[in-house]
Amino acid sequence: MTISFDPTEHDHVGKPLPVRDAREKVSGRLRYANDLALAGMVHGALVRSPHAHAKVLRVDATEALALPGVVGVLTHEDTPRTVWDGCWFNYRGPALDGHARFAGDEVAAVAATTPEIARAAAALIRVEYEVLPAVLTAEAAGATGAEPVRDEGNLREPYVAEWGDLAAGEAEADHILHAVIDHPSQQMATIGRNACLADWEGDRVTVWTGSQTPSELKTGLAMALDIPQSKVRVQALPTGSSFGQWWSNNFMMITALLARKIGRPVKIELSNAECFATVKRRHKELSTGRIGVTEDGRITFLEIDHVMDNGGYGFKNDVGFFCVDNWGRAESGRCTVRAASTNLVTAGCMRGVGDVTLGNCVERLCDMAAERLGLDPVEFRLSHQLRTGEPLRHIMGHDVPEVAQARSDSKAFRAKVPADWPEPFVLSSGSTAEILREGAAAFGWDQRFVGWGKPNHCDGEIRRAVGVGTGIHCCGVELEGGTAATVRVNPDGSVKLHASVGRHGSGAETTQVQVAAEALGVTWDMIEMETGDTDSCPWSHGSIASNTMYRTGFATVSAAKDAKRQILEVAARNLFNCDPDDLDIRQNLVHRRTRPDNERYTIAEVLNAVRSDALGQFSTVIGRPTEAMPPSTTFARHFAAHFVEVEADVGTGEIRLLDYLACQDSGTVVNPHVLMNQVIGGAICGAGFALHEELHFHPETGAVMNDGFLDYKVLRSADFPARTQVIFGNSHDSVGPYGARGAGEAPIAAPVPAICQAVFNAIGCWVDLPMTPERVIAALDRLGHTPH
Amino acid sequence: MRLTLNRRETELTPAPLERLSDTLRAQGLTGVRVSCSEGECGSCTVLIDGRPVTSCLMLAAQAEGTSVETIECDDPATAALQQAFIEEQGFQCGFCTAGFILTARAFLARTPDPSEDEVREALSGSICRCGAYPFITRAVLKAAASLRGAA
Amino acid sequence: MTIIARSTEPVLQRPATLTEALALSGPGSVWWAGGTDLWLMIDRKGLRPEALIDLTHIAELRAIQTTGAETTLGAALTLAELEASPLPAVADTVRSMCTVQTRTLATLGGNLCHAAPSADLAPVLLALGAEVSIAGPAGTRRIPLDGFFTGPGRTVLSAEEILTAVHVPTPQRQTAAYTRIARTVVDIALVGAAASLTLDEECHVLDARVALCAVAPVPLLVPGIAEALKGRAYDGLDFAGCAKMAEEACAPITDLRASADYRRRMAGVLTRRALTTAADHLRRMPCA
Ligand SMILES: Cc1cc2nc3c(=O)[nH]c(=O)nc-3n(C[C@H](O)[C@H](O)[C@H](O)COP(=O)(O)OP(=O)(O)OC[C@H]3O[C@@H](n4cnc5c(N)ncnc54)[C@H](O)[C@@H]3O)c2cc1C
Ligand code: FES
Ligand code: FES
Repeated sequence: MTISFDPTEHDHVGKPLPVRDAREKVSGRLRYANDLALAGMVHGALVRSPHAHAKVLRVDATEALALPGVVGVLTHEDTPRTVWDGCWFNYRGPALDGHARFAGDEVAAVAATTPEIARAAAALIRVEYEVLPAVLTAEAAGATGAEPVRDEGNLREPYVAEWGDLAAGEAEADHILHAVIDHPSQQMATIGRNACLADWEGDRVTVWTGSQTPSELKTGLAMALDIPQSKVRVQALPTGSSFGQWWSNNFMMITALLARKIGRPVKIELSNAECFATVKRRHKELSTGRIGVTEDGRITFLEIDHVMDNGGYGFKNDVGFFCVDNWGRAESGRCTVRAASTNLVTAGCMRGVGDVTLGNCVERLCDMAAERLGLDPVEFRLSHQLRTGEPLRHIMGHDVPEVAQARSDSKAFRAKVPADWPEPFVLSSGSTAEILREGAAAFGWDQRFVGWGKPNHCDGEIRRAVGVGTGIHCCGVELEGGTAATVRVNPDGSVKLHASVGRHGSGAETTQVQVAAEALGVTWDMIEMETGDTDSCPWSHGSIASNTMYRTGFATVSAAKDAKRQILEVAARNLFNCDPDDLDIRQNLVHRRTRPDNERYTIAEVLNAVRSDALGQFSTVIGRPTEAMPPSTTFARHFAAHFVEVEADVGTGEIRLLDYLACQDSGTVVNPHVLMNQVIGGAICGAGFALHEELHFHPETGAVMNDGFLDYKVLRSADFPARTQVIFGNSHDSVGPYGARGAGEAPIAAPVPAICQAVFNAIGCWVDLPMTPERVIAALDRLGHTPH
Repeated sequence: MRLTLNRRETELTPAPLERLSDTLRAQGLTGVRVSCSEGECGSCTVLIDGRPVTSCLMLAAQAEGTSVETIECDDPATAALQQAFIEEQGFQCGFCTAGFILTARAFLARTPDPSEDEVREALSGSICRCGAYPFITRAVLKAAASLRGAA
Repeated sequence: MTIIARSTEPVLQRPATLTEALALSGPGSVWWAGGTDLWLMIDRKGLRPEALIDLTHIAELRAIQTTGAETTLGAALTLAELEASPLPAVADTVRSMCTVQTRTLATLGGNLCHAAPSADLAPVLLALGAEVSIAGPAGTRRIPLDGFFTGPGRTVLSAEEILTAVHVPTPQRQTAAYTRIARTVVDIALVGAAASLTLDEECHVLDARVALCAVAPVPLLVPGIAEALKGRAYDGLDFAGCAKMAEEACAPITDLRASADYRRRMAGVLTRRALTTAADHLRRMPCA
């Protein structure tokens, strides 16, 4: 593969530095949650409901407790009634409440001296159920008289965004096209199962587990255990691949409750099948849409109705509208998201939530329109996708108090913030335009795209064709998403950065250190970072919604600047006898800006210079963010434009990927290796969703039937093209650290429409998702002929 | 039972139905990562007499009398691969990494000068859900070149 | 530490000869070859063996022998070992199976005796007209592979019997090919078809076979193929009729992997392709 990238003049930003824990990872020495053990620890196993929907009448643990080695049992009767909330409504419910809301839901737990005994004991716990009618689809959840999955009712408030005059748009359209896309549920299908270990000291609990959101987990634990947050410490450990799976999960609450009940440290390690079938997944989403276009290529309206199921404990009523925003030049639009609770395993935010699905729908509608008009899909995107400074439709059209608040706040901020910071409610920087143009040129799009529904190569039953797709995502959720960081400079000049972002392989701890080193003027080997200990890290949303570089990075840079200011003040007063503004730090040395080589002190010398005087407290410096990100910066986005060539076998329906180009605009590239991995990793996961990935639910119990890699197929190295290229865009963000924005989610959104379009071009029709060989053949059957 | 573990004669006493992956992890060899436990993901790969095996699908007792090597074993080819994986960032979360490196080591021992497609094919017995495949392929080609140079 | 159920767990026994192995067999004992299928039986199907008898240290089960008329493959040969088998169609098939790491363990005998309807080696061996040798307390017998499978997970073997070898006839001027549909590079076959073509000295079809997997409770030899092609010149054969016969022969089910309809149609498509590939191979083989 090849990369194109412009290096910058910074010391650390833009450098392909190896990730901080690279050596530990390649040597097998990194400690994941399932590697951890404590003296005196026992093992927990979970008792799960076989029914989709049931009330627990009685739990009889007599036999289990009689088994040698069993230490204790936890049921809903030992569990506080309090409801705990996961980040962004990804979970809401009590840890155990005697009500099973999906097949596989936890109803009790048992602790024993070995995992084998614990599992055997779990099988001996007799649970008597009153089986309730099961609600297995969002449609059934909304039917009159539907069994309530939850006390709050089955349906969430619809979330609607509107702009322009839809009726006028419809009247003006020369062509109106419809699409219905059934998006199956994708499983994070993590490699590396998670474990949780909980240990109480008096009334305070410490929990070790893999999590991207240590602070949110702490908050959740305090709620589930009904204790103050000060009594909870989370030590988030590295996870295997996560993609939203490991935030705060109910088994973590149960581990802590079980440990409290039996008075010993407890570890629960999930099996692979439990990870697949009982924790979390992407929502099943049904998108129905219409688009109107005029003969001369204007989009007069865009209307999408999007229905998603939350499973048993998800509580969301919205998913990312970012991809719809991206087509916000449409003259009018309405997008409605409706969400329902079902008796399926909990659904929540998987990487690219909404953009992989709703985004695919809007891209499909626009592709159908372009096809009807015979317009090139790259050109159609260039004409209709949003550019920097243009209004973000969905937030404008969405009349909620937060928006009003943000409007007034941003007026207040406007007066205070730097003049180059963006206006609110418009796209702050970047767009798909540059990466579409550069990508099309590098891919040879003009030669390889030979028209809609036309393969560029035919050989027997083989058809080849290209496709393009775009994706965008936020850089931290709009109007919320608090982050913080602290930078502590020790007396020896070493630095400790604290930010609660977890460690799930995104490389965040590396890129945060890079921007901190840049801001502070130290070499990066001087900085260590703590990402998971809630006793030392300030509260933060964690690594979610592609916020880490943009938001946490902002906090990190601000904290580093604050630390630097304090160091320079000490140096100015005690060593240079000058104004601190005349000083700077580079390569760990404090010097005058004007004469950098003349008089230089190490940071250790500066901090030790004050040891002897009354200002001794300065021997350790603690920097904290001094500026808040204004609400207007919630309008930052990152962008992906992916180009793909596929080969379709019209005899068997098999699709192969032949060539892949992923273009990404994330603003400044802080670490090209880290960003390339995010981009290609997203592309591969999105391509898997386009071609194979789909959870199957049992028609009666709703249980996940393909709870392992045997029948949940993910792409392997030979499934993804050898010819793979990455191109980075060059936009700069005036707020993000050194011009950087978010990264991780647009790249999983773009491959889905790109591959769908390429398959359309190869075989002449749209194929249902995932585009398995069988679905390709079914689509060809509906078409009635094969194209040449 | 006796076997050669990471080039040392070792005596182990696994339970009869114990998986080799569990036996090795109990020896503190955490580089033997267990994810799927059904032979699909490859994260538990070890070398048995130089051939890659998913150790979750093997009874510990089947390894009696063999030479078992894990990522913890000092070996020049492993070292070259580790260095190349670091330089090319052939991983994200790192959970699959040891399995890829050991599979690649066995592959390069038989195919010292592979094509890119041969590498992609040879490594398809492991899953990297983070999707680092192109970087893993580059790392293996780079390590192959450096090992050929050293030989 | 208390370990439950361990006291009753069976120890893996390692006979060095067939006689020793047969003597060890008893109620609830299980032949352990690679174990790659057995683990799933233990984990997911609740199999609780009373005794485990490892077949992989019996030298005669690991031999490959070629005489003029046939090649004999020991049942405990691993798939990795078969990659270098003298039978090109078998070697090709094996390379498309499992993962490189499971091929180190998995065996030929395990693949046949587990009798998964989707097992990949069955169709290619059926198409090659293989026979199998079976050893048991009552002695040994040799039977055609066609007829060995009696249902999903079931064969003609009794619990005390061992599959010892697979005999593949190697006539002159024969080629074979296996083709399968899978979702990703590592997958169980959604449908598989193998074909063999044997020519006589005049380059006319002397014998032909097509076998399918994953389209019926057992791997299936399609009836009537030889009759349909016999005596025809191999160049320019039309396989549409054979494809139709394959579709008619199968009795597929619908499961998570594919529907019965799709499987049936693909049995036809793959039959045509396997025969075409076999005929292509013939083209490269000088005709006497
Ligand atoms: C990740 C993965 C991928 C796979 N992919 C494929 C694939 O692509 N295609 C495919 O066909 N299979 C596949 N399989 C299934 C499996 O690997 C094969 O069926 C394998 O060949 C079984 O061989 P084994 O030696 O491991 O059998 P074992 O598990 O040892 O035995 C299987 C059964 O056969 C019996 N048995 C074994 N040998 C004998 C004998 N000589 N005589 C009598 N009984 C015997 C055993 O008692 C047992 O009942 C896959 C498995 C895994 C784990
Ligand atoms: S854990 Fe062994 S292959 Fe996945
Ligand atoms: S690096 Fe995470 S699975 Fe490969």
